[in-house]
Amino acid sequence: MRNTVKVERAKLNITQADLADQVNVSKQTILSIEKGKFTPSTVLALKIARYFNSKVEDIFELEPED
Amino acid sequence: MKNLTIYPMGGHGTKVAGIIITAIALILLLVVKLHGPFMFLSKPAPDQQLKILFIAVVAGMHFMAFSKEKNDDERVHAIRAKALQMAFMALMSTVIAISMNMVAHNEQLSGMYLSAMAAFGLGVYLIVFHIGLYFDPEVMYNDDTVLPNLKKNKRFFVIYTIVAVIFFALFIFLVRRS
Repeated sequence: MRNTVKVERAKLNITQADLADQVNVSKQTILSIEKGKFTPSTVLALKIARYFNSKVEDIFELEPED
Repeated sequence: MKNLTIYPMGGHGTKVAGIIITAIALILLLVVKLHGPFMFLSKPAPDQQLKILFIAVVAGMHFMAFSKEKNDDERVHAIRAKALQMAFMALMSTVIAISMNMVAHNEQLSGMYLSAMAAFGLGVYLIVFHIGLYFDPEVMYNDDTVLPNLKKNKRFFVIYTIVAVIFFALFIFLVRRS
């Protein structure tokens, strides 16, 4: 799954740790999501999208092999 | 997703306590194994020291395995679930293999055998869990064919193999009969 979490984070000029605190996960989890190593749950994806004031499908996108 | 641990009240402190207990017991166990029991101690008796230390190692590993992480979020839950799955498969395979061997040789099951099987299961879980946590968040052995899996997760398999060889060599050294 592709995502634009890093881009959205850069727009707001916040760190991974800040975003992690806001959505109640560890910084390592945000790092893993941005690298595409971890796929967040629906709840976490919704929390992230809500924080960025966006829709989930604008931030997270299925890849062809998914 | 709600997580399930055996020591929810202790939090991450229980894991730290487990690490300390395991480390101290393991060092003493190696000393006793290499140089013999501590003869200046009357209790526990010299012939019991090895067994008690082994059980202390297993108890420490239990604390480590079933306590919360410092940041126990859904990524940790996913890694834990995968590690438990692998440990369960490894443990069941071991129990079956040992049982078949004992039936074939008409042997009795001793307490040390049980402790060794517990240590093996806990060891597999701890290795896979911590490699997943710190080295490869994908943690991946799955039902893909072996070659694509090896290509995709080369680092995981290399680290896992090295750590597993060290663990099993230590395990065999500690449990073999002198």
